[in-house]
Amino acid sequence: MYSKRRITVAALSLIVLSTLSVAAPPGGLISSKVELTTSDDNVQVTDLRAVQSDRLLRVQAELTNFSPYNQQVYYRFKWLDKNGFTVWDDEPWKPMIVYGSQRQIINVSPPSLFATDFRLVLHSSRR
Amino acid sequence: MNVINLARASVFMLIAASGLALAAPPPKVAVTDLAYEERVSEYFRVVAASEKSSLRASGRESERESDYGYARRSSGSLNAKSEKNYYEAEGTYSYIDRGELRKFTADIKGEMLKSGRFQLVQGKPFTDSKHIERLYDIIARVKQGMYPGADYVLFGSINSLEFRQEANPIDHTNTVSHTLSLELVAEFSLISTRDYKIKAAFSAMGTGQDVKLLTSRGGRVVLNRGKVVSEVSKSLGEDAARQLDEQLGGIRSDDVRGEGGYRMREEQNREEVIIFR
Repeated sequence: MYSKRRITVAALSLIVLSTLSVAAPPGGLISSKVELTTSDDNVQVTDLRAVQSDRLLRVQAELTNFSPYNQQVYYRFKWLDKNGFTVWDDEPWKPMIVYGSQRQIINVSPPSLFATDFRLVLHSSRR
Repeated sequence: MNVINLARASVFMLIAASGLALAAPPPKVAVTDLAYEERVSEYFRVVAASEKSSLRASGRESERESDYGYARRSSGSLNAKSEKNYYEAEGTYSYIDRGELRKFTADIKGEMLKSGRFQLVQGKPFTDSKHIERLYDIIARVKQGMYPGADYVLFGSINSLEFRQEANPIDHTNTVSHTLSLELVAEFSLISTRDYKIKAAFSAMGTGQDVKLLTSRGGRVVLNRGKVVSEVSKSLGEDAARQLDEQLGGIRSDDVRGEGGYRMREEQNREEVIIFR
């Protein structure tokens, strides 16, 4: 009887583990790739994906404005190599307006083939 | 008892048959160099000019004086001749250039050897420059004994061979992507040297490229031609060997190594999208 219960517990824990592994995102969390310089949470990165084709990284980020007002945001990317070193100088800030309750897509490629990782630095000015 | 003996005999026969089947040596294949045929146009301009002139002048003068009189005679002649010729022609001269490209076949041979299905023998190269149109007459070449010991000849000819050099600006950056790529398409026929039956025919493609990025800061880009050529050769070899394998009985389920190889190639070609949550 005891052993039966043990098996059931083991089976349950296996199921829980498997569901956890299925639920785990394949590329990590968005927050691990995004650096916010303000505490304003009206504009958020709601989708982030990257693909490496022909050794060149391509990143697509979707910014969503959850407020009904237009928001001015500034963003730039930090490009890192596989060891986490930056492979390029600081980029200039790029301005963008995310309209109220709208989404905007950013598509970028790094200026170097050595870039295999990135950070999106986002600054949104508070209304 | 008789039944047991019968069973034993049949088992022995089965083992012997399988042994025979295993002992059959793989066919010998000769891989030709890739034949090419290309129309070549050349511009020509011919200018020929000649000039000939002659001048002949003669004069004669005689004077005679005697007690009775005086005589003087003079005569002269001038003969001048001049001739000029000028010839000019220009146009394009087209001819068909045929030959064998002594490249890109090593990886085809390598992949065929890796499959373990074939033995390879070396054929003689086609060097008859006087009768270059006989390049495609593979039956005559077999009859001439250019592939000694071969059961099959894998005859390849080039359909297209094109280098491309491009420079494309990347959106939202001050970077330009410089690309050198080469694409080669060749068609192959596996021909039996006994009855000239075609056992397999396909076209295979090899591609290779080198990409370098250049920013507006300047710099000089030298694209790696060797890498491109090597990639073309390797991918052509893989594609040709795969199609050859497919047409000669498909992929064997017990060939674990081969299957893994195909899967690996597919994965290499796939672009992996990373989605963050």
